[in-house]
Amino acid sequence: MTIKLKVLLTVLTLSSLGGLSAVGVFSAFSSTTSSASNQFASGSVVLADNDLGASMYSVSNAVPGESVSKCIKVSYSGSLDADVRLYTTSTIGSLGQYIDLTITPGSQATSTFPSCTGFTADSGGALYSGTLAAFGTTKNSYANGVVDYPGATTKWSTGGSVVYQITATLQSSAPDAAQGLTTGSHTFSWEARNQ
Amino acid sequence: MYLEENRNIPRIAGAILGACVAVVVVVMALPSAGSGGVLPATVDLSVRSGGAVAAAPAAPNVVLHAANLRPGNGAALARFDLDNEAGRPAMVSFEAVPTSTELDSLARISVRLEGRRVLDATIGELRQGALGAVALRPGEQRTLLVTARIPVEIETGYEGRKVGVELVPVAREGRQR
Repeated sequence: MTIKLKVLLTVLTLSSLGGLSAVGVFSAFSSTTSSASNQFASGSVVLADNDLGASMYSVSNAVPGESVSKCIKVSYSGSLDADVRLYTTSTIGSLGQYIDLTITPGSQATSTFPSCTGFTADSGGALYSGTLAAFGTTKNSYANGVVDYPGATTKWSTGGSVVYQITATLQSSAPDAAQGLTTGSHTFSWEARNQ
Repeated sequence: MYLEENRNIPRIAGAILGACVAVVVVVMALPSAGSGGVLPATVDLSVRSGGAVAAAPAAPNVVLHAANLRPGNGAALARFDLDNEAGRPAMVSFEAVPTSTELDSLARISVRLEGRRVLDATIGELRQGALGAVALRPGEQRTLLVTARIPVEIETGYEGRKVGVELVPVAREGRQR
């Protein structure tokens, strides 16, 4: 075997070894990419209160000057920012013209419906002050409802809440004609719509 | 003839040695497959506040961050308060609103009150409807324990999944205790 042949065989052997190891190295690498967990989900608008279906007030045999003041906490837990408006769709009976209604937003450290213990009114004052009858005719849909937001914000976000103090008073000046009348059952509605 | 055979022995030995070296080099060059750590699942659980029942901490704050869930281990535990703000007794059950269904049948949520199991269900079961019952008097506040886990019998499907779960208290009028 000549030296040239030996050198040639050595080079071939080394090349083969290098090639094999290169194949071993590079053949193990791979790369993939994917786009997983795709989904489409709608947001939510969720408004609730703490009355558990009970009424705020039910007054019978009222005399002029008699008043009730109750508090209800309205909480928002939807995922979408929302506007909330307060209105009634109830038909107010004839006593409504002699009932003064005041709706004041505020807060309570601890809320227990319908107690107003610890209620603190917001600095802006009452949202509505007038007769129950006028409330029924002027605030009877979302379109003309009373607008309110928690604190100084301009939206209801999840976790937001407002305690509303509802005060209803049979006017001291109610005439004899008001005797035996009723407002009828009426419902206050808070409606949230996403912004 | 005998000398010629003797001369070939080192060549054959060299060839065998070279082949062995080649095999060793190739094998060593291959990256090891490795066992690799399986990614755990993550459940971020919050409790919705609102209506007759207030929760603390309330969503969007996370009550329970279970970031190391694997079958049979990594279970996480946290506490939250429920406060009955209704003026009458309330019976509270829970449903779940998860951000995805990926762990619906794999992860279990359990709620306990003073050692008593209130509920133990998969996220999917809690998504289908309210479960459990906690009685609260008017104005009463109680502390509950919540845990998230993946049962040991689960084999796969959880790896690297991350799901947010909002636990929603559903209150209905209950009997006075």
